[in-house]
Amino acid sequence: MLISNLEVVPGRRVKEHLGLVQGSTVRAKHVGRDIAASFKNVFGGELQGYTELLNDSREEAMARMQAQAQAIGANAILNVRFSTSSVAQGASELFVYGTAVELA
Amino acid sequence: MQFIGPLVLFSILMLCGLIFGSIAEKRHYQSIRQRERALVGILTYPQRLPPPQLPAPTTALVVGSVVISADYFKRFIAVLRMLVGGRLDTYETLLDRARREAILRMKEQAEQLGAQSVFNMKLQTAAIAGRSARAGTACLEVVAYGTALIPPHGLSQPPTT
Amino acid sequence: MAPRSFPLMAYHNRLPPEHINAQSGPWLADLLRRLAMVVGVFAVLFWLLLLLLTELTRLTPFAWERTLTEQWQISSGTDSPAYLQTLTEQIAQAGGLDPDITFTLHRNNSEAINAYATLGGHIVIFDGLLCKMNSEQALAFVLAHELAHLHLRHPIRSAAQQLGLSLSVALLFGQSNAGQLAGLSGSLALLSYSREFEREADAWAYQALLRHYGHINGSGDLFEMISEQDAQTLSWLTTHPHSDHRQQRRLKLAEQHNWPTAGQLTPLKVGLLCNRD
Repeated sequence: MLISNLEVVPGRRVKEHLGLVQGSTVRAKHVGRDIAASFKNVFGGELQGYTELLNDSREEAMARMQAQAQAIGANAILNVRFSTSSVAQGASELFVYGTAVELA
Repeated sequence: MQFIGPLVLFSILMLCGLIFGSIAEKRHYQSIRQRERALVGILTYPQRLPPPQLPAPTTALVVGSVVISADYFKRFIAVLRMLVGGRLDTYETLLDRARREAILRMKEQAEQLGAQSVFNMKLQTAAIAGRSARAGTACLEVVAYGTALIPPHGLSQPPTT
Repeated sequence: MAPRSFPLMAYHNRLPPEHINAQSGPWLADLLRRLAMVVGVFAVLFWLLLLLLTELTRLTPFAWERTLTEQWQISSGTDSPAYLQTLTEQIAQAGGLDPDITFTLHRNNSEAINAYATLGGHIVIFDGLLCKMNSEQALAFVLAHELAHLHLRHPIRSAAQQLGLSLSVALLFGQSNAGQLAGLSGSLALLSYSREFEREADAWAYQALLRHYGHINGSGDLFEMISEQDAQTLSWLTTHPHSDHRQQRRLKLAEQHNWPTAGQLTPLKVGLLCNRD
């Protein structure tokens, strides 16, 4: 499945515009990671635990979006957008959506 | 002895949350599915550009928004989740409902304007929990907005493609 | 369906299936499994922390404790009479109080039936308790019990335990602010000891009495007296194990070690200690 945040794919024609598909997941890291992160907040630097968490979430959200697109018979998702929101302290939602299309 | 009072209160809140929360969720999903089917004719696309071959429509910005909060049971499960990590299943349904409701409200607005489609639709989520945010309270706003395309009057049927 | 359909054939919406974004898997089992794991890890970490703190307190010289508590305003009453001071010294010698540890007696003029030992070797005895004593041995037991707390370093060990607990809670719930720690150190003056510590202190006290008087008669009078009283009014009970249990334990210990439970009781000059009425 082609996933892109372009409006049109160069050299390919959109045969069918199938509408909105979306994928989202809400995740939290266990408290050990939170503690490690609170130490990191003192010294600065990358919070690897959280990077990993968000990467996992992103992958899952995209997989869900793809599942939706596949179910409605699309073979590409265009104009994809990500958004992250913190649902509660220590938990974040990763949301991705785009237009499901059928490319010729 | 002194723990009994809060424990009873906690159980009541949990039970209330579980019972009323799941009833509300079931009903909400039913309504969402029904309205989604009814409004499927209002085509909605996140893509930015409407098809150029469309006869010049008038446009209008349409917005749908919803603020939701989790019930006590969901919130408690979520707090535990934040301790142990993993997916917050109970909040996922909440967000799914909120998002679909926001889109539906946007579509309803578009329908009232006589529009047939909404382009460049965008979704935004914001946690608007105040002082209780630390305690894991989820109070979220979801906004869906886009540009509704209203066909010019008198042109009801397609000019064949 | 909308009243007028969209004019272009290539555009239509299809509804995606349900339950892709809101899956309801076996979440409860997963949650419980993870919960058990986290609780287990924390129990181990907490235990290690306590062990570390206990070891550290063992290495802390008593002199540090003493200087740390120098500014404390513990005394809130009249000076303790020489008789009380002498008796405490005798008991301390009989019990074999660690020579590094020095104690300071304080009297509290409150009517509460209470006595406690805290950081820095401070022992506070309430007038309410002194007025209830019916023999020197009964009083000696209270003093010996508090001396035992000092000898066994219970104040600092308890403080370490409380510190460990607060630290763990603060870490667990992400509230590691300094204010909480400051508030904690303020409450250190009023430590409550675990039941294990109380049992240890009782056992040490009986031996001190045995060596000083040759018997442990009178040491249980306090328990008798307390169990007769209304439990609600006694602050002693909130910080100490149930008196009936302590009495039973006392008799059991006496039986095990063949301690003489009968013996001559020394009458107490109550007027000297109890300046009420």
